[in-house]
Amino acid sequence: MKKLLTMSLVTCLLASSLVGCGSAGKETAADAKGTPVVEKVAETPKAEPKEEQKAVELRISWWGGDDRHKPTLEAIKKFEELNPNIKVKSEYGGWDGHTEKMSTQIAGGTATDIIQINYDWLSRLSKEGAGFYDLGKLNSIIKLDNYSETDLAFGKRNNILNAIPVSTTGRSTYYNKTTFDKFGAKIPASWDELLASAEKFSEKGYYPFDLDNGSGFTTWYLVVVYMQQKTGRNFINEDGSLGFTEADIKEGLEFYKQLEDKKVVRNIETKTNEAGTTALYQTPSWIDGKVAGLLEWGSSIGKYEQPLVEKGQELVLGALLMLPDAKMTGWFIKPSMMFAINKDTKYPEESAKLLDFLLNDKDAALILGTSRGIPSSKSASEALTAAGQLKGLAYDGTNQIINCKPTLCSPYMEDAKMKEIYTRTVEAVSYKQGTIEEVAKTAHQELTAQLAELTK
Amino acid sequence: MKQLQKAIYKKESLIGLAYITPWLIGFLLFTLYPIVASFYLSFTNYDLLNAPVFAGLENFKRLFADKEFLKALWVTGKYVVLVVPLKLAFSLFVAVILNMNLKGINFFRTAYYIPSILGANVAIAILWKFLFSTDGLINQVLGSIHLAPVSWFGQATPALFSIALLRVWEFGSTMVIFLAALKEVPVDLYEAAAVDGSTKIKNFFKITIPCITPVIFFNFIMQLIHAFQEFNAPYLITSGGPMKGTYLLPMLIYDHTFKYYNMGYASAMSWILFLIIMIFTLITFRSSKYWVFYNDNGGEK
Repeated sequence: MKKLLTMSLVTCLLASSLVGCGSAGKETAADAKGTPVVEKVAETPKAEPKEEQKAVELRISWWGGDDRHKPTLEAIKKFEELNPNIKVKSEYGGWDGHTEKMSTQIAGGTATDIIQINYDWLSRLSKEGAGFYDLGKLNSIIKLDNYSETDLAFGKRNNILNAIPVSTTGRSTYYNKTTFDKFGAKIPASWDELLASAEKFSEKGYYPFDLDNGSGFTTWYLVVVYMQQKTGRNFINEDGSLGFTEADIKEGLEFYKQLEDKKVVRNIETKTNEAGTTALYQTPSWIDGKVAGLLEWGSSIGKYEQPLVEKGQELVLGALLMLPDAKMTGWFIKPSMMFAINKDTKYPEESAKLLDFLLNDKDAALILGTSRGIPSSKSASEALTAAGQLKGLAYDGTNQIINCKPTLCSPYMEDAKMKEIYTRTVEAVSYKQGTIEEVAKTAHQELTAQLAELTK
Repeated sequence: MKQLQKAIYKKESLIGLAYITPWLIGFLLFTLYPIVASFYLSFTNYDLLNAPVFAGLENFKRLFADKEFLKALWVTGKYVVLVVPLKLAFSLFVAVILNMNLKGINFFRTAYYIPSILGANVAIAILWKFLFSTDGLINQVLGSIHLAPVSWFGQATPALFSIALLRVWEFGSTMVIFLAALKEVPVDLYEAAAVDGSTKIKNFFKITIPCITPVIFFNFIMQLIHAFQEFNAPYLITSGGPMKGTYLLPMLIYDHTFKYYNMGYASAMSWILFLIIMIFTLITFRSSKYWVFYNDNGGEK
């Protein structure tokens, strides 16, 4: 008897350990039988061909800072209220490491139904246009007439609509006005003024500007903008070939070296020493105003502004730096981020409904505000204008870029290997590993090789 | 009679098999299958999205001409040489101290084990980042004893040191094993040495160390294998560090798989890492007969 009891208990224990091996969190859809048939509110479009409401669970993923997570969650809650049969699970986090996480999910078939994707992912994940669900098929649910042809072209591969841009954006300069006022310094309005801006700052160990040489590759971005203005050549041509010559790269790197030498920005060693790889907006230098400027996307300036505002400081948009004899604008524009639908999604129509809600719905637009930049969708931006919400740094920054005859950012510019080359090159300059000429030569070779690899 | 014995034996072995089935399934699915798959993939080009394309020995040939790979190998070697002796020496030192029979020593034994439990997770990594930052605690302490602040993350060697320090800080399990070994050393050896007028230090090197060589051997192998596979600390704290100064081989493998979509190439790299670890382990095993002293045989040099 005792032996039998022991045996059965041990078997139960083993069986329960097997259960633990199973996939975690497979929440089945809510009890379909219990859901009452609800009258759909007038906002959501077109009749459902089904009579009873099928209980559906969608997953959505995005990246951003807190200033984006909160309103997005709110908007999703509103969507759930309007569509009681749809439950939405949100997966979100910061930008660092997000690309790798998403690519793994997409390659492994576990990606969410609605995915916020970055512009350069399309060329890699959807070479022939079949990487994501064809949104053209869902145009009865997603109101595509809210977008211009140029906007939609961003999301097309092989003429198939893979994704819809949420907004367009480019990097602009922003400055901590409070710190600048403290030193009685003027916000730089030209490249020369930027070079000279550290005069009053450096004795106190403050810096008027910051360039990130890592996942944000802002150092390379600024250098490229400067050289594009100087030479009139594109960094990367439309056909994917390298437009800069070796001499261009050398001159650009020398410009960066000047920024370091004049203490406009911290050199990489000083910057890394402060907090390793922590993002700038989470470091004490930024929050306390010791580093008083940066180059950032209009669509994500919120995460830098928020900690400053909490400490009673003010962030303002700087003028677009232009050379007096600039041969082209040089400043870039690109779709800030896009929404796509997983090509293997079980619920394309429901996903399309959520997508349309987040992109085009007027109430959603008011909740989301400018947390993803100025919406490219006509109905969303109209809703924001009507409510007088089209203001603030994201709006000013994006407008500044849109109205300056910007250069279209090549999708290859943000490729992981390319960013690796930018990082290595700038590090070599900052750590004085070889002459700038040698560094520029290596960079030119590596960039040419990698671009050839990408356009194969 | 023999038939019955055989039947009972078969039944018992079947029951035994049934009990280990959960582990066996896990092993087959999560350990054996990936190992075999990665061996196959190391001979292909695989970008995670399309099917793998056979490429023979191309990956391996590319590896040895790849500057990044050679640099990562060099950095990993430096890291291992730094971490393993440091960790062993430090845990042995603490174990010796904790071996003393003072009052309340049990409390200290528990306290010193706690860092191991915390592990190299994200929270500790962030703490480490702020500890070693320019005006972090470490530099402040250095300043209070009139030493210049060190550029911990800005230069390659201090950065490697700070990462090694994180691993050394988790000396708990190594220390506990050493502690157990120290308690096994026969007390009469010490008494005999006292009769001969030996000092404590001489005791340590002539009695204690030889007696615990099996445990040193075990800890050495375990730490060596773990050190070669270090990923968390450099990934979270320095992201490969200034000028790739803390860019260990596992990080390169990770980047090639998830950032550059060269899974075949990364698999080839991980098999080279496996070979390296295996070679070092074999060398250690072969040399063990010269310096490891087991109580049952007299095999010492």
